[in-house]
Amino acid sequence: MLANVVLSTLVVCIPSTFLAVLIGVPAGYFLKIKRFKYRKMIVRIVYTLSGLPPVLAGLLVYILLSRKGPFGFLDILFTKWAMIITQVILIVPIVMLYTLSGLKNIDRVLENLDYLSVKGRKRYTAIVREYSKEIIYAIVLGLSRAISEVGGVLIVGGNIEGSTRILTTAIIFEITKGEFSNALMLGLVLLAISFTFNTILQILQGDVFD
Amino acid sequence: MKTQRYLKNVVAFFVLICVFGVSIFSGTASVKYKIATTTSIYDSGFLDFVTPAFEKKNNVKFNFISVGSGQAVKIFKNGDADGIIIHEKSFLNELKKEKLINGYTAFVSNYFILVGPKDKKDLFKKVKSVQEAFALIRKNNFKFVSRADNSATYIRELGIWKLAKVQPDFGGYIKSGQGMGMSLNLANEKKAFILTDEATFYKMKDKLESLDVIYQNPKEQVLTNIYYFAYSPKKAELSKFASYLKSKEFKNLVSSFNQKFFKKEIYRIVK
Repeated sequence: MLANVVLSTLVVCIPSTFLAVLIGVPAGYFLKIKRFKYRKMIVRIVYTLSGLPPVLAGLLVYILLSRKGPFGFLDILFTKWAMIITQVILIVPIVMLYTLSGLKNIDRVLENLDYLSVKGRKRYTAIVREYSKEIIYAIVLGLSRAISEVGGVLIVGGNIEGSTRILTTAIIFEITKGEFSNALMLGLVLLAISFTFNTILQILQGDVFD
Repeated sequence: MKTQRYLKNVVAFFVLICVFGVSIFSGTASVKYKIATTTSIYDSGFLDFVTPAFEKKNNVKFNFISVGSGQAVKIFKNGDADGIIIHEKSFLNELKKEKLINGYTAFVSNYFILVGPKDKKDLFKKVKSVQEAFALIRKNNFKFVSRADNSATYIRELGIWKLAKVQPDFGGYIKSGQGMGMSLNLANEKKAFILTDEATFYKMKDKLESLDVIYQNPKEQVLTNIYYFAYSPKKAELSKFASYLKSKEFKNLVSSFNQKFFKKEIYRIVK
């Protein structure tokens, strides 16, 4: 029972963070170094979306994925996929925003790479290596958002036992039933998971850089 | 170089979890049905108690989405659920008119009861009907929690205010906008009156220390609470579940549920 909820939490939050980092870091990098029309406007939008209320994201994804919506044919409303999509929408702007501010001195790094005439794939590997600490921090931010979010995933997931019930929605459900001690227990489990993740990521950061 | 290896490990870890997750999605072989259900019958644990026997026998799996009756109807109307369990007949008649369902099966009932702060119980001793009790609450401007959420319980509550010929617009009227369980918690904290179904109340009773039954009467039509099951004609296989709800096996499960959690007959079989 609890194991299932914990597993569902991981199965939803980790892929959504992974996807969000996969999208958000390159997008943020692109936005940082390229100069084009409406760039400032887009940056402003990213800033705004980084504070997107989860319930609004949930509502939008719900409307899109409902059988009557444009993506209804996918038949994934009230599944983990819908929850992952909602979380990706929520996390991508945060990761982009962090990438924008995290890529300090990128111009100098790029200049050096030009000077050494590092090109193609090697160039990107070098950049990733240079900023791996920032990337790990972006993962931490994304994961924290994913794991603590409840409004959005409750709407699109439906809190189905054994399927879309994750720790946060289970907590809400226990409160609904007045089972406050169960809710508290689940909250502590959630905190422990978060702590574990952050420990792993911090060790990685430390091992690599200190 | 060391950095790169670490990053590779991180990526490999994430990919592994993703693949693991996807394999879980496609893990079970049984046919899944989504059933939108009203909170009261789900939160009481009833559905989770009576359905596994059916699921096992027919190799199907029910995914219950527990929301207020109003939202359940919306979910069903949009085609996002295959079946629906609610306790508001007018919604079902609407669905029938729109040909979204062929009919519906009444399977269990319980009663609506008025609960409220223990210390005010004596004031209601001489009350003869639920509308009289409501009128008394209005007259004294007592606190009253209303779900105000387009749920069946809320619709029934409005019906009773109408019978009492008073408008629920007094100072003590609190609109919670939440499900039955959460609204009961609120009423408990605020020492307020609330209309609820017997099952949810008795299931939570030990957590609702300031509340007690203020008025109940099984003979009043307006207080009967019947749960219905209906399904989309596109999912004709669900007729099996409808007949299961009329079976002997189901009846036995209902009585053992009552025994286990209430020690008295709360959910009654509908003939």
